[in-house]
Amino acid sequence: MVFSSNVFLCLFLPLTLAAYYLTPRRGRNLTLLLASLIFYGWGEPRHLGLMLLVIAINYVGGLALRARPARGVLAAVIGADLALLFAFKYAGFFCRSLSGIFGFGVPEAIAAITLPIGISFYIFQSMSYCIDVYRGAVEPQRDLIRFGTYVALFPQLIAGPIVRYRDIAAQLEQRRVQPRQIASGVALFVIGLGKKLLLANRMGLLWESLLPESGTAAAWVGMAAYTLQIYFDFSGYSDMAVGLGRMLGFEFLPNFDYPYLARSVTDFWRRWHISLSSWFREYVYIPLGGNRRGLPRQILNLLIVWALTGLWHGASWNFVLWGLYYALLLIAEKLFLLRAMQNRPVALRRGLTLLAVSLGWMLFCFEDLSQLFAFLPRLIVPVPLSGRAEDLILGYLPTLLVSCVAATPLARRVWEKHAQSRGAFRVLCALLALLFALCVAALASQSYNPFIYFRF
Amino acid sequence: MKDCKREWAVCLLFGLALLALCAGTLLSARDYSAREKRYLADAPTLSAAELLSGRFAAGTEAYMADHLPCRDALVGAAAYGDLLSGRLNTGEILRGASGRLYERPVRWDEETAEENLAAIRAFAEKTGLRTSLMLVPSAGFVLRDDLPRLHERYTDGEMIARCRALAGEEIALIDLTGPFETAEDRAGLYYATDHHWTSRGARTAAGAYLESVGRTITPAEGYAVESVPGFRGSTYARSALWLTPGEELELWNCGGSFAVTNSESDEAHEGLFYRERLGSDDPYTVFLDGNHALVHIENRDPDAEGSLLVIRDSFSNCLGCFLAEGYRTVVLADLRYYRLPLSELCAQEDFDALLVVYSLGNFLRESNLLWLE
Repeated sequence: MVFSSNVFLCLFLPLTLAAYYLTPRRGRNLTLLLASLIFYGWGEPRHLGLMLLVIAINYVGGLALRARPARGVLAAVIGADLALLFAFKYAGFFCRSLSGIFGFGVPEAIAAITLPIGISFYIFQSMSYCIDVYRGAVEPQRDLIRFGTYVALFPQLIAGPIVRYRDIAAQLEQRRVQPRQIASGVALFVIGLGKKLLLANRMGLLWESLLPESGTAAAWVGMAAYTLQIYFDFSGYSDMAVGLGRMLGFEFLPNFDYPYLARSVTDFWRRWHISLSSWFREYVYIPLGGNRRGLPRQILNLLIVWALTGLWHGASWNFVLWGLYYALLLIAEKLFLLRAMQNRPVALRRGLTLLAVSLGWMLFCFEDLSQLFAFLPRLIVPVPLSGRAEDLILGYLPTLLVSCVAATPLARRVWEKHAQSRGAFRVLCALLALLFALCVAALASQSYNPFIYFRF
Repeated sequence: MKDCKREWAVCLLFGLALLALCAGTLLSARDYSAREKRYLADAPTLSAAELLSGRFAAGTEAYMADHLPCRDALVGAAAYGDLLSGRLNTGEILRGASGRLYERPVRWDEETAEENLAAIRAFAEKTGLRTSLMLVPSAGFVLRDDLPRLHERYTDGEMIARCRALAGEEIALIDLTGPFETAEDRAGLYYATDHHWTSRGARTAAGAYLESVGRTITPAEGYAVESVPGFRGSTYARSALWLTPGEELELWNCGGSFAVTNSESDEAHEGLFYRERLGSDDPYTVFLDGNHALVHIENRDPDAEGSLLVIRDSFSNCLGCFLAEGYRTVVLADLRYYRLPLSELCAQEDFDALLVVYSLGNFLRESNLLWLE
């Protein structure tokens, strides 16, 4: 189930919230766990077993690590998590890659494996829990319901943010849902829904419509549209997750901080998918030695971490290349680029960073590298714009401009400036109500489908 | 509580909105959408097999999507939002300066054009019938002065010329771009809310054909015209711009006597117009009862002579009413539904001529002409 679906908005969310608030406080985790399992198993119930297995492995693992905090126990639990992740996400990819080299066929059983939704998120969360228990940073959770709620918690289950156990351990035990928290959660959820349905989906449509059109400008605008799409899609989901979390009494850490205003690639990764970069820094980069073992080792560590970051995003070579692309940029910044750019105008630094990030998204977008190599020259070779592309660009221009403004903190600053003004709250409520209505209208129009015979 | 009054209000409003969505969807009594002309999704059946296969989830999503409360109003709001933001005219339906609704330009498909023309040529050769081809240009091409500033170029003229070149000399192409562009009331040739031509447009086209085969048609002023207000057609439904005003659907009666039968009914219908259809969801079916595999029109005028076979799409529902004036018998065959060899029909009926009529867009998408034999 996804947040931007009719089932979620019209059925799951109202029923879950009603059930949650009506449940006595001590039974709320159970309500939440059941709701989360329904949420997860909705589209593909057969993957529910995998989720329960991950919960069981890490629950037992946490208790075992408390009883005997040995490396061997940790290795066994992490190994089991990674084995599941490999089997369901990467086995097909590696078999296909090896079959390309050695010429054997991919076994049917492996080819038939489908990717369970959100597997990378909940396995990474579970691993962080066990590592933290091993390190003594948190006490293991003895209550299976509470632990299951942490792993399966539906707001962040399928698209993050990756919530570390220690950040919500206390909230799992005891939380009070305050109206202020719910109201801010509602606002954040509606804003996230708007980002997804009104901006991301439309930018996606523009990108797909411009892709087959000729023209250098079409390629650039298309790349900008994809850059905006991926930001609003992902940050919209994160906002909805944080908002839903607040409605349920949880406080998740923010996952995005206006990443397209970053002044360097290093800065970009402090602002983009913060929970993932924090996870890799804390659980991979620093344990590998980070920057404490000399420059050559640091460079190697960066290459390892970013190859893994790329692979985390998808089981395909383009994601690995995308990760290594960032590794090279970050290494260049550490060696000389940050210093060289230090005194340059901020606008130039932001512009170059955005260009690097946008080009990176093209690596991310095209799983088939031949398509990428066909697209990149279109950014350079001057070709006049096709009529259709011109129409698309001009027709989408207002949405593009709104999207560009929405990617900056302008609206937030305006609100902060006027929040205490008389009537500001009512205006905000009216805007949120309008935004919600537009989101439902966008959902409704997706299903509007006049019967085909009508055309002839 | 007092300190959080505003926050409580937000929670309450959001709760009510969710409740309205939930209750409105679950309690929906609608099972048919007149604007979409389709039955809405049924509630899914819950069973272990349906649940495990994921079909229950997919069925629930389809049901919820179809039964959203105030769905038509929401779809309309989204369409007007698109209009205001400028995106509407990048989609399937364009809104002209006058408020007319147009389908986006036809895309050329050389392969389909070649295949279809080869099929028509082969059929003409096999039957020995004098064969004409009429490709109806789109409203956006004929009324291009009315199009919004942002629009793709309509190249129907070039495409029809290319079809003429591909058709060869065996097939006479009835080029409507000339008569349509020089018509006095160009806007009156097409509906403002439907992709079809009006009775005026169909009469102009029928006149061009009948003249090409040495026959005549009643002068425009010779018809008794009956206007039916409030017609809103296919482009209206597809655009979801619900505030677009309705228009008049005209029935042009030449005063002749006609009997109509079709493949779905043996009973002869008196006259060309099925007036009971005017109150239905699709009033355009007033002409010859809409689409049928085979429609047989008998002109009872004792002076009428000759027999015409028309291979066609829905543009001939209205056109057929005018072609019937020039022949004793007109048979309309719709290859989307008619699956028997048409040459057998030709052997039975002794036709004098064959006319193939498609809108240009349909012709370039049509795959059933390949089955012509």
